[in-house]
Amino acid sequence: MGILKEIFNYISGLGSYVMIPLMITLVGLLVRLHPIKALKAGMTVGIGLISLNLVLGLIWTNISPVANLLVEKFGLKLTTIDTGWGAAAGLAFSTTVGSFIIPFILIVNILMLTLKLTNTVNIDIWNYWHYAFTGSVIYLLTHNIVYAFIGAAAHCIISLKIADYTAPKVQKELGIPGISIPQGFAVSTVPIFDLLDKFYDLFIPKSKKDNSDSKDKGKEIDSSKFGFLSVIAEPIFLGFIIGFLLALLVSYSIKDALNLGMEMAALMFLLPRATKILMEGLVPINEQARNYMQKKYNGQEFYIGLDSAVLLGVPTTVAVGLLLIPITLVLAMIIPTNTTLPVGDLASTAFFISMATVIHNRSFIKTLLSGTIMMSIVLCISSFFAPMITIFAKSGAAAMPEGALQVTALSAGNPIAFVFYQLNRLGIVGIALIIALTAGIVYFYSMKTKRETIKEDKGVVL
Amino acid sequence: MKTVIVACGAGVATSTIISSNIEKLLTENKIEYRIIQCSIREVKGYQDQGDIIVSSMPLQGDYKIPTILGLPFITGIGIDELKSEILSYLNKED
Repeated sequence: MGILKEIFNYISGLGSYVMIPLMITLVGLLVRLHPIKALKAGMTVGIGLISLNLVLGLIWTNISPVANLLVEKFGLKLTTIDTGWGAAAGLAFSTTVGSFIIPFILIVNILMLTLKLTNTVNIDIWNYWHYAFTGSVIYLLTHNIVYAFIGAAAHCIISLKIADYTAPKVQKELGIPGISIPQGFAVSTVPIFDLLDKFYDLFIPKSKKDNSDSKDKGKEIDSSKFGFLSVIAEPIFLGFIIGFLLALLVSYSIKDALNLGMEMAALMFLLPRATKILMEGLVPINEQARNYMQKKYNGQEFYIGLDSAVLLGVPTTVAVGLLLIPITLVLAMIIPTNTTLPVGDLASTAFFISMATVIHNRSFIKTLLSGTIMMSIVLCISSFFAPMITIFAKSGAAAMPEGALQVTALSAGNPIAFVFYQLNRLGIVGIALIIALTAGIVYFYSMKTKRETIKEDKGVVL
Repeated sequence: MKTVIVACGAGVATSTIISSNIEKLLTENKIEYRIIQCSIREVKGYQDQGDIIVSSMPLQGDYKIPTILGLPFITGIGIDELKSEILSYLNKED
């Protein structure tokens, strides 16, 4: 045991640029990749991590001074930069928990399928980063690897259950049979949107409610109405405009403002590309895992678990997603507990409401309201997690100047991760509570799914 | 030379898998091609340069060029139909 611990300590002492490639290579071998391919996968992930840190350097050197001036001049405490989901995913995969998350979640999923507790085969392996993130923040708090993996497993189990529950609605919405959405963020929004939907219905007269479905669809708002927004929603324009305006706000000269605009545009352009390198490294591991799962579970009774991105083509989602860009910026300035300056994930605001469109039957107004509420929650939680994410980013050895900005991502503002983190403050009691909570959610959604299926079946008979 | 626009949620992960499948398909069929990989928000900006759009999500709304759902490359169900659909669009005219 002592020697094992020493080896482990030595390896983690090598720094994440060496440790992560080693771990990923090991995972590659575990899923039976050719050793050379496994090594290449590991090194590519490491290179992705290095690129990610290089790009984050842009934030620390160029954007920090502006944020400091914002505090000085206006008392606007926007001292955390939203780097977008790509950086968050990369950082989550590059923690100790993250490097083993892929085989671990596969095992949890297989167990759930074997016990017939879920129908979802989650082949959306990139989005395992949400589970890695939950586990990683717990590890940072407790330094207990078992607690961390329990947290990640619980998040995964809840995701599978909620995916089963929303599957019929999602399939109907998209017209694609046999799919479900266990994406770790999207599922956390389902109970919230469900509750809000019930709440909205209190204010809608009953006569209207009966045919609200068709009416709402008739009124569906096309995103072309927001033509201007859809142009600036392109990441590079978005980055430029935010950088330029921020610089003007703190009275930079036009020349400096233009430069900051370009740097922000570069950030928006480069971050996804850096992430892409990291993700490319994971491709062979991904394919192995997916092929294995597809071969093992390819019957009619299984749902294929996909990213919530499959919902992003729905017009209501596109339109509300665009409107959420300015809304989120305003929210960031008026919510007192918020410290996050939204940038990176403004390019993916539609992700946050992908399930709202489904739950609210494409109602534009309901989705917009729910989206605004969700973004407020997300801003608070992502600000809360900023110190932790900054630690993950620092461990990559990138030189971080004194008094530099913190980093976070709106997509890391996950309510499930937040609840689990808070419960872990209670130590072993918290872990017991997490297990009990997860069991309760499994039971609740099993019942709910059963009830809805019976309703659906009756509908068909009638 | 044909240009295929491949889009997913962020233009990072899922579209990489779709792209590598399309690369393989078009090389095997000796079609000269270029792939533009992007996020859904960038598709409209690129559509003037492309021949078809292959996306990970069903696209609704107006697009100037044919849109194809590339999901079968991810789920493994209906790959053959998808391949012949892509080829039929790209072989049409030169």
